Amino acid sequence: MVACRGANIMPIGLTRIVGQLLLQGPEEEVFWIFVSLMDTYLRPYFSTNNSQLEVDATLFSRALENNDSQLAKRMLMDMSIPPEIICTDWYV
Amino acid sequence: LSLPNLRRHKSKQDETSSLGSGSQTAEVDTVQVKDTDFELVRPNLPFILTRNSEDAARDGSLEPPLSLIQPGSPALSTFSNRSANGASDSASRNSPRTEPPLSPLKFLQEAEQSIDAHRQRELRWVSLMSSVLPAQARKAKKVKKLLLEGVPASVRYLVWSHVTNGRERTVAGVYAQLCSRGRVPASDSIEADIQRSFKDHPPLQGHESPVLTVLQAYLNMVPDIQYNIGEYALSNGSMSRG
Repeated sequence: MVACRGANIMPIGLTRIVGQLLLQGPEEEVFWIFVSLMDTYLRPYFSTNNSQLEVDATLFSRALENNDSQLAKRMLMDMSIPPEIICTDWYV
Repeated sequence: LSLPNLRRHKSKQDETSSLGSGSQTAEVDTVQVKDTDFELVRPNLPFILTRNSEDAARDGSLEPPLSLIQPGSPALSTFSNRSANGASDSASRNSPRTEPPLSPLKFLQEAEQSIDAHRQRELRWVSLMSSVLPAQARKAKKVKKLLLEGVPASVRYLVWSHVTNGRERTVAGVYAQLCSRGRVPASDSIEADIQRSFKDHPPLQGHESPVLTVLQAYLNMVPDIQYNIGEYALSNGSMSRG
């Protein structure tokens, strides 16, 4: 079931980022802005090991534990939903 | 485009204070992943709230349809900011079917204040971009502070270019060359994503979509990027437990 949900998460992050930039300025400059964004922030998310996503997922579960320990316990422990499932959609 | 409030932090570089001088001492938490400490910075809630309304006003693309704007909703400031932009359509958009809930006088006063604030922000950005070098802009506290206050649409693209230092990376001719290499393995997925993502923006759609062109050019330049990270993660098994 979790796998199903995962399959529905369609990663449209890069498309969205480029689209937003293109609404602001000319194409070629957008390309170089995008290159810079990728190099500075985004490439670790799209590399073949998912380390950056893991880091963010760990931080997310920690934040959840701090702010709503009940929900964190229910979600992460009882239902053993991996935090990556939730985070992928946000970060990527 | 929202960046996570979780900020990567290497324990070696002590930059605890880099979030901004004025920030109230946010509670700081660290998480250890693979020998590296990551700092968890909590957002300042009231601040975030103001910013959201600001966002709605600034960003036409995120703006809800007029019919959805309820009296008292933060999106109302849209009207004032539009006229501040000198947008020619502000009059027609402010059509009779959405009466402002405020009395005309109060509405005008608020609009005026908002126009002033908007212009001031514009000016501050313009002067900041001439005084802070692009290479330092990303780290500069002044820039961070202004970014959080919002970037007026009129200068937003210049700010993007400045803060990312995109100009310095530009190599003349390379973009055209990369475009001429045509399609990449992920092109089909990109097209599908474009169709889903930009229903409200016809110029971004279709086979000629500039989104497709830019992404293809990038993937031609950096072929080892996984465009479909979700699919990759799935096939990798890390997402499909349970």
